[in-house]
Amino acid sequence: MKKLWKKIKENPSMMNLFVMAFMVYAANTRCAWIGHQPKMPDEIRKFKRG
Amino acid sequence: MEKMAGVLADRFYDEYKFPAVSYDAFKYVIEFVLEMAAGIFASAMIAVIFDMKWETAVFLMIFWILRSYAGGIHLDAFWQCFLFSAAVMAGTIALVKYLEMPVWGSHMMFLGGVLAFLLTEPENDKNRHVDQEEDAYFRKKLCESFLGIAAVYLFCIFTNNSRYTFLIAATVDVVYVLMILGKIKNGKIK
Repeated sequence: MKKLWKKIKENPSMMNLFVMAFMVYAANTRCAWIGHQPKMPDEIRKFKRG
Repeated sequence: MEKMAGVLADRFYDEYKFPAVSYDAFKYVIEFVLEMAAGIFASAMIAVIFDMKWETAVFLMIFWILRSYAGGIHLDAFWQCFLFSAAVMAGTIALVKYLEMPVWGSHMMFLGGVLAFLLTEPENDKNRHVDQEEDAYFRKKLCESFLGIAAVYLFCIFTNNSRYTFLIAATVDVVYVLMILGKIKNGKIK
């Protein structure tokens, strides 16, 4: 776990990629998850494909 | 969960420097990931308790895919939604484990559920505004998802797996009922 965190810290773009992947997913679904739906910021809309 | 996401976002946003993402969007992703992790953890617990690991995985996948494009009820607080989702999941898994449904019953449930979905408007949440363009895209994806689910359902029929045919049919129906509950909550059905 510590190694993973160290790797993420050394390469911030990996974290960026992770965040971006979730934003693309959230932008392209009506409900991002089966549970609670937090208020989606408008900025995430720019990642939509449809 | 929102507070926890705020604490984590405060800590990591500056530390990792996200040039392409605003703080609000970053916090949204953190909150979303935490809620998803909690949901997957609850699913794993249900799978272990009922000793239905593969069944729970199939339920979760179908539930997730259909909810992604059809929408449905969302309760206002995270813990309410979390407990409700866990109860729905546990209830469906228990039903599939303890009830012997004849295959024709599963067929009726599956066809009825798919037909009902196709005849009903999807339901959006107030926290996720959907424009016309997005709505058309989600409807198209929902139809494609049903094709995929129908293929899996047919495979289960040909392999005489009555438990999975019932599971898939029950999941489709559960998601439909949740969509109707969303309409009732949002005041579209009284």
